[in-house]
Amino acid sequence: MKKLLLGFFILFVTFLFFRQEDTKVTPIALDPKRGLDKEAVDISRLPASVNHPKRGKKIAPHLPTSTPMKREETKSYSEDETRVLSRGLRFIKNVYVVLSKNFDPNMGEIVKIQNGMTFFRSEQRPPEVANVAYSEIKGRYYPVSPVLKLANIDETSRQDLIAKGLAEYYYQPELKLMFVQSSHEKLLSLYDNLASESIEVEMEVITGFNQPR
Amino acid sequence: MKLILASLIIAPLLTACNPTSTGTKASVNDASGTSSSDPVVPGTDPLVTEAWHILNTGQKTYSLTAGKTGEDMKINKVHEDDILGRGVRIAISDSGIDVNNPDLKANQLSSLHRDYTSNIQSNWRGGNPYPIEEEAHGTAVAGLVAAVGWNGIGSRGVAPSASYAGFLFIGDFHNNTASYLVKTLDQISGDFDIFNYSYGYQGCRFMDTSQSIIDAYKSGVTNLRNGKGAIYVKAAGNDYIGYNSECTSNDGTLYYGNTNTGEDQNLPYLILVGALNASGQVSSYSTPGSGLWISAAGGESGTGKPAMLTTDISGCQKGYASKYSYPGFNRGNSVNPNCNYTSLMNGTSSAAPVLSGVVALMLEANDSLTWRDVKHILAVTADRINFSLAPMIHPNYKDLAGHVYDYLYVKNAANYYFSNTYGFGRVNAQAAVNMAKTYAIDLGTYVETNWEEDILSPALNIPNQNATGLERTIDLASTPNFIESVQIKITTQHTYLGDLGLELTSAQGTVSKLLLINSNINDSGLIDYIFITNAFYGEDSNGRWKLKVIDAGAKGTGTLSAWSIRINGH
Repeated sequence: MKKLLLGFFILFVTFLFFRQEDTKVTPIALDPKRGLDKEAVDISRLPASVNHPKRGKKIAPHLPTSTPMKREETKSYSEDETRVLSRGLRFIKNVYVVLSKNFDPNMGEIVKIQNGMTFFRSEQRPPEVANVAYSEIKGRYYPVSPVLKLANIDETSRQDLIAKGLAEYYYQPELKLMFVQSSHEKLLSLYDNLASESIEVEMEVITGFNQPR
Repeated sequence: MKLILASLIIAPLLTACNPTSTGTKASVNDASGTSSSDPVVPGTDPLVTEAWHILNTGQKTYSLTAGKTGEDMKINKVHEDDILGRGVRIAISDSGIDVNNPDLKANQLSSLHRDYTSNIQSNWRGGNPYPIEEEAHGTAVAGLVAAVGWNGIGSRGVAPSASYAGFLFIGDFHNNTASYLVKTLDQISGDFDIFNYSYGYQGCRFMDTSQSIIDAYKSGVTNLRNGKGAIYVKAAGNDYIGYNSECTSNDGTLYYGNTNTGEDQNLPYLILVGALNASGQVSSYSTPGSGLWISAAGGESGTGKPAMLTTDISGCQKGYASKYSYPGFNRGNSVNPNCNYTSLMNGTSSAAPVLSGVVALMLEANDSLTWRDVKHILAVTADRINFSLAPMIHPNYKDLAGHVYDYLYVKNAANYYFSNTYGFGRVNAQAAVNMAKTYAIDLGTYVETNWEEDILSPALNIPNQNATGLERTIDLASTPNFIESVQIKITTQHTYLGDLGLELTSAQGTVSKLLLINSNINDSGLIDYIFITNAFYGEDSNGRWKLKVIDAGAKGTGTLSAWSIRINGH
């Protein structure tokens, strides 16, 4: 009898766990993006006419309402402390970025902490920090790569630029793109020099890295 | 507590449900994974019986529940026809590949692997793209495309005689001290027929695409394969419902993904693939959107419902096996002694290589197909699954009175059925290969029109929480009479873009939802941001096009300052 009761208990508990879809029991996070709720709302993908009147469970909010607002506020920078990179995107002088784990409060005043990176303002450039771009329309900061992209560079122009001492990082002949290696420290001056020679030069703003899906 | 109790119950259940499980970890091998050999069954692949994506017999694939018999892509039929992807070269740009896995070794193009972990360009070509930190994703992707067939071990790929090269491109080794753009551009190029991209950005923000990347893809479809164009296959994303602390706001809301948020996912040159499960339904995570082209098997979690049977990094202390807690197949047992295989791979990451494999079968059947021919065949031969023209509701009931959230399918004026959930439907390998064999359609010269603009000065307010929305029109004339895709650019300023919906009505009256309302995609503005829709495939583009912008939520207000439209087709 005890065995029978135990058996019923196990079956009952098992039913409770498995009736709400399988990711409830997933013991492994194959992909951190794959939240518990995703399979739980499977039914909502049906057409409304199929879904009604057996509407699926509503999803409970995951966060307490006290969680800090993540939406960004737009900030203004004066013309003389920026370079316009494209519509709405500016290079910001005197703002730098390091991985948050490498940030030292002596480096400067924190402007933003975002995606594991600390953006900070400093009149004196600390060593080994990257430059920063700011999207006015999105209110977000991004690191800038130390590599410059030059457009419309044919083979002749390419050789001319190499002869002038530019360090070629990569050349894409079909697209006539030349990428030039610089350093975080010298990036802005090289950018200004190339732009003054009417070369189509762009900074690379790093907006993120691809992840497995 | 729940988890502990669940573990106590689940582990023996998983073992019991796995007929070949030893039930203990006794057979788990050491890290080298060489202590015993995989079971050999000459002339076949003993694990292929668990590969529901090749032939769905209602197997469980080492999960607790069975799939639905017959819900597959007819890949087995193509294999029976001895079309196996011979001569087709596939680049798998991912987290690297264990190319010495016994089921992957013979099909590798060993001189064409790439390793982007170095910032020095001369180090990228050649070498072994072995994954960093035992990240098994790329190895699983490779097995789905091109695991060797009929070699007596393991399973088989969708294109088991195709060749592949692995690119070690995805991982945490990138940083701000080098150019990510250059590496991204480089892995778009090369002497390959198919490029498989089972990666992307998290879909909770709109990611602008560099013009260089657009140009690189365009160059690829124009110049590679001797001008027939490379086939770029990309995973649509796993953001049907997502949560990310950087992207969601303070009320605990989730976000609802859209294919159009991803960098390069709004381009006509890539084939975006959604995921299906073993029951023939959309997978619970698969990102919807008007940029989808087609759907293929991607599975579910692999514990409760079947995921995908594929290759893992060899060795039970590596790859998926090392992250799994319960004894049985995925920790090594008598049929998987070296943990060379996993049944836990899932995501649109799985759907992409399945489709890449199908395209490889098509290209073996007819190597003269252009990139557009491939897309056309896939669209016209796809199976409409879970078919309904009924309206859908918001996943969390954040609907707006008087506004239809989405339709499962729409029928356009050219009689094509398109779905933001499935694209044109589930890929049918048998039908696609059969059509490829006798293909004689001339799609004509490909045209991308100039952008036709509607600039609003001053910007117009978008009515808040109003289903009528803001409507604008553009008249097109002398544009393609066979649409292959339509792109629009949007410039808007809004304090919370997650409120907005965008829908485009074609000249022939078909409505496509490009952005679904109340997505909670957390951005505040777009400048010339590109959306793509495939819903108008085959229609004539000449006439009046209407854009409707709906602000469905209460979190913010905003304006539309410009939009423009471009037709791609012939």
